[in-house]
Amino acid sequence: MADLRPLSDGRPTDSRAQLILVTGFVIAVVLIALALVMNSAIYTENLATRSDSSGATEAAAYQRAVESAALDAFEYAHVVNDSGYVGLNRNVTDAIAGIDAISTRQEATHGHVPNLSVAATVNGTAISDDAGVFDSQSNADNWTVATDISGVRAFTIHVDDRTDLNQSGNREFRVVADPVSGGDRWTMNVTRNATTNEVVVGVNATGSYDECRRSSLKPWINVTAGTVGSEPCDAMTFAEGVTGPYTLRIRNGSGIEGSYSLVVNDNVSVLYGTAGFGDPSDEPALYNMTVNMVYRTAELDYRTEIEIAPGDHDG
Amino acid sequence: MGDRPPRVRGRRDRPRLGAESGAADRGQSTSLDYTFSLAIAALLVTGLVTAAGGFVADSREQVVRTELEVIGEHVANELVAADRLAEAGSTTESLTVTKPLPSRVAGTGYSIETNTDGSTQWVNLTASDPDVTVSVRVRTATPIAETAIDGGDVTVTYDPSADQLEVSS
Repeated sequence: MADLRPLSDGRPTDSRAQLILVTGFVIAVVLIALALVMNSAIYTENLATRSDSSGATEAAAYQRAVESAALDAFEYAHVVNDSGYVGLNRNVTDAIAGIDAISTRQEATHGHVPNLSVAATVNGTAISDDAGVFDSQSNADNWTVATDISGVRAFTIHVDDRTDLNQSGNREFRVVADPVSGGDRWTMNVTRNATTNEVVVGVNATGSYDECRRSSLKPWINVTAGTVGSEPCDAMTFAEGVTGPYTLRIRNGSGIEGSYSLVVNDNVSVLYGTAGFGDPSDEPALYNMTVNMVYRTAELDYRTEIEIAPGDHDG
Repeated sequence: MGDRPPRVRGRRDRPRLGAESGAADRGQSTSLDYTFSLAIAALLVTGLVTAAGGFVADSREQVVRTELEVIGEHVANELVAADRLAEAGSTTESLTVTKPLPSRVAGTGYSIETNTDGSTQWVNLTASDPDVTVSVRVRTATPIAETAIDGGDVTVTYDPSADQLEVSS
């Protein structure tokens, strides 16, 4: 190695090479800096290839799976209904507990901890009529289906034959949501156009009228889903513009023949007695169910409520 | 026997420069030659060092920019994931997502800022040395609160009362 100082006898050395030495040192520093920068670049590439590690994607998938399973459990609970709210609540609670037990074991293998429980249920009433005109049990043409309700779900009407429909303005069949405390009412009428022979569903909401026309012979009208003949009807949004609790009425029930069913969010079974053929009948049903869902991982804490209400017009 | 005739001094017998007459006896041309050599060498070395230093500085800036982009995408991804979860349930009671991220990029610190410009939401990442700013656009249904934090682990929280996502460290 070259000497940085003169020799011991005082003579200067002609091979110190200080310039080369310093240059080499500087280049070494530069190379080290370059190595560190390249290391950062490699780390960046590594960082870029990392997928979601918090479990948010798994949580979203779990939420969807729970929603689907809870919906099935809710519907199945009514299929095996023992005709009482206690039994319905026990059915859905047991079903959710079963989903929780299975899913907890599955998720635990990934280090994720879920928890499910039924937070609340709302008692309701399923009202239906399987045939004939839509009159009341006492054969009244104009009658009240339910009073002081704030929710209706799964409201479907099947027109048995469009030729049985009255024409517009001639005692047309109407469904009315009439606010208890006053205000805009919502009205839907179902008629037949004598010229085109179309089924006409007209909706009067928030002071404006609009309608949908279908040429189906026996169309299904899904009132809460807003479809006529399985096609969307933009004019139809159930109870649009109605504020607060309302009374659901049927007007000119003899102006249509077919079947209907709906679930209201109140226990109104006292209104109906034993139903005969062609009369409206009712049975206890849960209007909705709220499921508490917790999903935790090392980097995620998610707590939410899932509302199950099949056919709810808000859902 | 007589004395030996005196030797004729040849070329090999001449005193060597620098040995007997000393370095001070060297010619002026040699000094100039040495000076020029030194100057040229210094010039070349300086150029080499400058070029290498510039190359390292450019590379570092590029690495900082790339790493900020990657980190910005990660933050945006967590915001979108949190938004998806917040919107999924009928009522989200609480949501906290933590994302481990480096506190320095290529040896320099940085800051993360969330910004809403009209209907457009941005995650802005800024490094001070070198001065680099990267913006990543985010699309969420849930509003994002405007905050600024130092780089490092990021926590995305959903505030049910304000119905907005917040980024904190």
